[in-house]
Amino acid sequence: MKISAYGLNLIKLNESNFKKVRNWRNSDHVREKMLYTKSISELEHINWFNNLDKELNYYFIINLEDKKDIGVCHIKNIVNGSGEAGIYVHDFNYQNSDVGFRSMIALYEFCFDDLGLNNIFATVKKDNEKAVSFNKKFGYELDNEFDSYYTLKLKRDEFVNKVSKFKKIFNKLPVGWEL
Amino acid sequence: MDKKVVIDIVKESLKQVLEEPIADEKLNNVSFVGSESVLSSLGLVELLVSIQEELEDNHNVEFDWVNDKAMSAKNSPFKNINTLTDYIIKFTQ
Repeated sequence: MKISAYGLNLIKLNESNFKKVRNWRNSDHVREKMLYTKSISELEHINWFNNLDKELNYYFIINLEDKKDIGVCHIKNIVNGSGEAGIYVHDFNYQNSDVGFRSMIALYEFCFDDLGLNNIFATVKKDNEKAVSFNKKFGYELDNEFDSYYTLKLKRDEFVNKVSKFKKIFNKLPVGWEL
Repeated sequence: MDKKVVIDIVKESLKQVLEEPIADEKLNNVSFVGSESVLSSLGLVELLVSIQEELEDNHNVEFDWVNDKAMSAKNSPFKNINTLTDYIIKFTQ
């Protein structure tokens, strides 16, 4: 399964590609942003993938049109019209670019339009101000506050309203555009 | 549109999207492209969206950054405050 939009591809994690994402997920700059910060062993990773309900958990490799894989995004734990979204970009060259934003627009459109979700949740560490700011650009609002993290909630109408002008520009400009 | 009004719109929009604040007197000299850029590629798109919203919502100007004129221009309108301002004025004439 592949979603192609806004100059990139989201390729669903499968038997042949899932192993390579473990190293990305284990890299220091990715782990430190996660709630679960420990390194993941090969066996843990294989067990995780084999036990994943693929109808309720969608993990995608973010693949640029030049075939480069730069990160992973997901919607997981889908239940009662809601799911939990997340993303990491392991490639330093794209960490402050528009790639993450483009990827999540493509993912959220899949969630709302194809999976028929009503709400999407995101969990963000309180000290990760960049991630909080990033999520608010899509229309996320605070849902709940815990000791070390927030949960944020995104509704379809808010999302559509917030990203419409971004989409128009992304459709014309190349990924990580250079002028 | 009056040039001063446009410059103010661009500057105010820029202040909203900057991750690190920049003093007013230095804003005229910042670059939006290349290694000296004060904006990421997402930041630049945010700036364009913010300016567009201000023009449409408060100045009754229908604006579109991604028309063929802007995309094919030999000198990109997206380099700095001056090029953005000139482009907006030209577009709205």
